[in-house]
Amino acid sequence: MTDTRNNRSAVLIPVLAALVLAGIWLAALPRSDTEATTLVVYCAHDRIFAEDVLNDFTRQTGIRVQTRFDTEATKSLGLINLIVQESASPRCDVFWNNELLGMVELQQQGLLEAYRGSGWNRIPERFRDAEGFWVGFAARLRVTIFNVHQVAVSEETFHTLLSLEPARAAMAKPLFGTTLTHYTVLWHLWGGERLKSWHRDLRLRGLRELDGNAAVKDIVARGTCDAGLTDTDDVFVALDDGLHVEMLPVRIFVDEGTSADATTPAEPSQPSQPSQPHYTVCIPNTVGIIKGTQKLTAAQRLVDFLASAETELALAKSKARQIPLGEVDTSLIPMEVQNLTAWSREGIDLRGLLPARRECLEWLKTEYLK
Amino acid sequence: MSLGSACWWTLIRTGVLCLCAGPICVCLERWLRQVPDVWRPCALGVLLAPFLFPELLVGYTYRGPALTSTDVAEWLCSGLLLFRIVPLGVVTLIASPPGLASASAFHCRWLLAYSRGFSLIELGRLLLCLWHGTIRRVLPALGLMGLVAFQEFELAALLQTASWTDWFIAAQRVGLDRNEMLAQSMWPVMMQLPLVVAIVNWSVRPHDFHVETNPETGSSRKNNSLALTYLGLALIGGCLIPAVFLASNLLGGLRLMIGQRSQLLGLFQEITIAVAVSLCAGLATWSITERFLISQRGSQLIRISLQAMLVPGLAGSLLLSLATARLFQQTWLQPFYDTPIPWVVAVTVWLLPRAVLVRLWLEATQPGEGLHLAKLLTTPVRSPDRASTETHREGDDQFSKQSRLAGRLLFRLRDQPRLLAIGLLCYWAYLDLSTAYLLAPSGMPSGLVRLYNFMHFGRSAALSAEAFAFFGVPLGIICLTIVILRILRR
Repeated sequence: MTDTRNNRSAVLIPVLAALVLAGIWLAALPRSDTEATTLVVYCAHDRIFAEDVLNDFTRQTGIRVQTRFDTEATKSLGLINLIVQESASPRCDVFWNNELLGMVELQQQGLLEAYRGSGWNRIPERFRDAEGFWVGFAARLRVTIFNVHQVAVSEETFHTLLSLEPARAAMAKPLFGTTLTHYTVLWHLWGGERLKSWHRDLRLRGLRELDGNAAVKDIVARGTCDAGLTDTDDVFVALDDGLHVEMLPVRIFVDEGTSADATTPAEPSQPSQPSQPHYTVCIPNTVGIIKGTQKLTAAQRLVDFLASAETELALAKSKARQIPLGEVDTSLIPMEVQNLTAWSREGIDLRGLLPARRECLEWLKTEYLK
Repeated sequence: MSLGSACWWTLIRTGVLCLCAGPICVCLERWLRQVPDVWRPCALGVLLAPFLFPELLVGYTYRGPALTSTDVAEWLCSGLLLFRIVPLGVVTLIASPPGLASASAFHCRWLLAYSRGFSLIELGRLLLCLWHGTIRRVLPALGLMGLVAFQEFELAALLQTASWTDWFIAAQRVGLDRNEMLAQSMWPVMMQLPLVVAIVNWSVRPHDFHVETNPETGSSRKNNSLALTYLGLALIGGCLIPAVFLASNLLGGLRLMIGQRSQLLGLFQEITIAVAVSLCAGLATWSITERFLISQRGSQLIRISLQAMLVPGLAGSLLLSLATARLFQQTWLQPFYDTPIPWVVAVTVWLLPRAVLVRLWLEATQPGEGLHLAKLLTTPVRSPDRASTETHREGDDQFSKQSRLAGRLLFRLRDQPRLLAIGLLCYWAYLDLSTAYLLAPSGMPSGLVRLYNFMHFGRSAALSAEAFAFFGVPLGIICLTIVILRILRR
């Protein structure tokens, strides 16, 4: 009798658990009468910052948001490929990317829906798509992070480090995220061959390659490396933690003679000199509506919300200290973000770099995956 | 690093680890057999702790030092992996049937070979004796340890050491061509195949074993001190240091978490989802294992199909999740893609080989005679010459009392270990990152992915609090349930 009871429970308990799970899933599903009030958002931006913004959106509009985040190590590219894979029947309504070129890639593949709303209108032209397939907001800069206990904070230091002792410098693997954008810019400005030989030379001489920008920040802050390439938001995390680091924005020189210095940071006190044309790498967040969404109105509201002055200010005041791109009340922007604004204006226009990105990524695949 | 190089590197690491782990396992097994019955659950707990301690937390603790240099990272990863695989090896050794040739037989064969001057034939016979004795017995343990070490994903990712799993994640992220991915997956699959075949073969073989206690000898004292030294190291390195690291930031993190109500609610929702999925998968796996894989019930076809299902589970959760995602994206199963079904299916398939191992372990440790006697106590025994109805009633009362006690005994002997086993399976399901990350439907994220995300940022206060909640809440619920059940039973 006991065995029969056990057999019965062996079947019943999993069935019961499955029912509970189905219940949770059904509860998470949007109900038919409120279908337009739940959005599925794929978000490549750091969860800790993005969650607050999306919660604000829900509070203001009553539209629920189900978010799928990516991990720091594989930022953005994973979600882009997921959107491509799911294109036959998309489950994502809005994609909040933490860089720009991936969004251009999705646009080229015809996976985005055009929308030119209030958010699009307030963002400068070079940070938005002309037809409204995507719009940029709240940017980061590529920077060089220095351990101030170990080296002097200057362009020359990093240049010397790369030339003489690259093992004391660190960088994230350029297959993903903002490092990929950085490499795309280098590919575009230098040409493929030069980038390849620069990259191979550094790797051969022991450049520390890590799984993400946060790891670069950690390794420099710990003093294992003296300097490294990362993003502004990672450096601010280190500064908030009281670590002894400083940063300089990365400048890429167009002039052939000086560009041999590769990627070098600029003195914050000495903005670009007229004789040395150069670019910084300013990478905005971008947002776009996925083609085929059944919740177009709600998606448009989210796009407008994300590209609004309110969100840009919120992200500027957040621990990420992102740089507002549209018009905002400058008195409300934190001082450290205001310092970055000047450098962001020197940022290269990333919109036309998709071919360079594709070529660069193909090459990187052969470097790291073949 | 190319996939080929990454695979070979992982294989070499696996080989070295298995070679180191083998003698340690034998030493620990001997020690465990000598532990008195009363202390055996405690000893097992200590032994298994480094294997059961959340891998993410261990990796996160040592991430900082691992960044110092690639050599340090490799040493750390290998050391921590050793701590994780040794308990598995010991458990498998105990659950393995004894070898066909005993140690004395081998010794006699050795003496014979010695007296005959170690001719080639004698050496061959000696090797054969060794194969039928120690090697055949140790092989499943080595295979299983090798499989776990080879499939390692989270530790390798967090400590940034070379591993084929890292290559696959990167390839998946950059959207490498599907056919190429498939072709490349042959590398790890072929490397694991001998191990998988050996383990499947072992797991479906009839097992006849029991844990026996040996009298203490002079050499066993040395063995015991070696075993205890290893256990101390493993416990400190694999559990204590990560726990202290976590606790050091806990208060600040908890304060931070309590201040963010919406995040707290989100976390609890994610914990509920992870618990539901793991319960579902854990229980389903146990049922399948009990009904079809162990008890040999069901048609031959069903049993063979289920035994074949052990193979994908042995391929590891990463490859399994990638394959499941592809399957549900590309085939007629597409309508189920954005549901919990792929997630539960993948976790269930991944757990199957583990469930078989746990089930075999239970069989190895269950006191068969005691269980049989307890079962007998539940059957009424009445003498045919009952004098009066009063005696009859007295007999019934006595029987109901006896059957209550027998029920308790049966619970202790049979049901409690089963519950523990199911709990272990659910715990594994709860902690698996690959399936949660790759297969969770929209709106149903697992808290584990959130933790993994935090680990890459190095925000230790927030991480400590979330990890505490993620692991503490289910544990708290289990403890509460046990307390309530005990109160109710009184």
